[in-house]
Amino acid sequence: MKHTLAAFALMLVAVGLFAVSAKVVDADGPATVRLKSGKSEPVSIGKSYNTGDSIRTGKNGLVELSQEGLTIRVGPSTVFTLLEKELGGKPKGVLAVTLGSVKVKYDRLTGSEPLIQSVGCIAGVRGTELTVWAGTDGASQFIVDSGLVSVEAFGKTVELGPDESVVVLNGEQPGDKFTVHRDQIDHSKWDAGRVEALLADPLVALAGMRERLAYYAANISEYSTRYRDVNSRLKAERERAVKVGEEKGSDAVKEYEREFVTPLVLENASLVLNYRYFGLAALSMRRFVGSRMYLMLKVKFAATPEDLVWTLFAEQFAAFVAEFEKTIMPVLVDADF
Amino acid sequence: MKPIATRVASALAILIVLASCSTLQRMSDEKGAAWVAQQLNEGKAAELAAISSSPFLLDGEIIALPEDTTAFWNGLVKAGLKLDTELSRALPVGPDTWREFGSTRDVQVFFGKYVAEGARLFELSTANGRRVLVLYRSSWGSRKLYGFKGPY
Repeated sequence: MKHTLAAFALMLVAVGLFAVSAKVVDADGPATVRLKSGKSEPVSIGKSYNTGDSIRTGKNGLVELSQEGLTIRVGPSTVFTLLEKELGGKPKGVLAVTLGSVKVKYDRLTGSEPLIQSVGCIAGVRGTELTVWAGTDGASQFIVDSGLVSVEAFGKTVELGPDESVVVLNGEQPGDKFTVHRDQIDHSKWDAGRVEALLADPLVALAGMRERLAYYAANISEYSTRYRDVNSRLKAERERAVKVGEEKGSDAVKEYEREFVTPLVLENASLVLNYRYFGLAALSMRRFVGSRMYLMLKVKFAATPEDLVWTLFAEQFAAFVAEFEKTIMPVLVDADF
Repeated sequence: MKPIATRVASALAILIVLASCSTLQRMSDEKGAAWVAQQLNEGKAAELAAISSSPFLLDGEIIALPEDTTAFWNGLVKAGLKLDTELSRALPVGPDTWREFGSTRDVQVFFGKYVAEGARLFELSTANGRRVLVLYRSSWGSRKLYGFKGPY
């Protein structure tokens, strides 16, 4: 409990240090925002949302956000979250598309373009305009209008140029890129195909999700271990700072803290930011892919619960939930639910 | 000092009030459970969706989008699930009721955060003898469904 509270406090510090906001410039149809505090409210034009806030549009909902040098168009039936992670010693914004479609347009380059994340992969962009689709089964598709995009998953990167696209199935490396024709761009049609694929072979979709969960869990484990290590060093340095104060006075303490304590505090904040980032990404996958997958399969087999596919799915889903409970839950706080 | 007859009368009055409360609660539970069963049996998925909370708890999973909860009720109706309108069990939602739905933190937090005080847990039987759990609350004529588990 103490550990969770300390982590939560540090998370707030981390978010406070690195927060990136996006302002709503247009909105139409049903759209709500789930704030990082856990509170939900309708999206309102002129309001800015920050790291951890998640926008959810209804069937005919549209939201346009503006960030420094960037326009984000959130399409219908979409779950879009503003996240952040530490990359190469610097905080980096992440635009997470868990479900639905988002179009991103860079009006000007700032040098700190956010990354774009779907359930199964992450993309770096350089002066571009692109569309991201996130499917019901956790698959995603990136379509580039202009500029360059690097899509990465499980160690493989695919570079996309204008009019190129790639599909990434959850838990797998990106597929081969292909040229996309403008008249082929239809998110609902694409997602209908993803639903069909999911219902045809739910065990494959579930296996992909478990694979991705293992990736999130491995990252959380790495950053949590480093956090614990830095935290114990921080504790020792703080104790030394007290001794320095007793021996050499308050100026010496300030000097000591600046040199030895503050860097560790910042390092810790970055580590918390990262393990929280992976935790929240995993939670998003569970809520908007896993739980929906469970619901669809439950309904499909409601009249035939003895069906072998459902029995196997339910068994493997229970294993997924147990893995989630063990590896992801420890870095989540109640406000995340 | 009160005469014995007065004391007995007071005690009886308290017992009658308590019994009435318990009877009223039982009647309210039976009415609520029968209403849920009837809506499902008559294929009124829209009615059930309209009073379902968002998020909604399905077994151990939190369903975050209201359109998914609607899809769930439509799916149950389409699958032809029928419930016995007679209540098998009813209990108030207490600190440990979440365990009836699962043993995960998701379920525990859902109960603590989203299930309003005064909610009741109903157990009903399906036409083929299986069981379902319904998380239900009624207050001043308005109904709310927080979750559904089963059939199991």
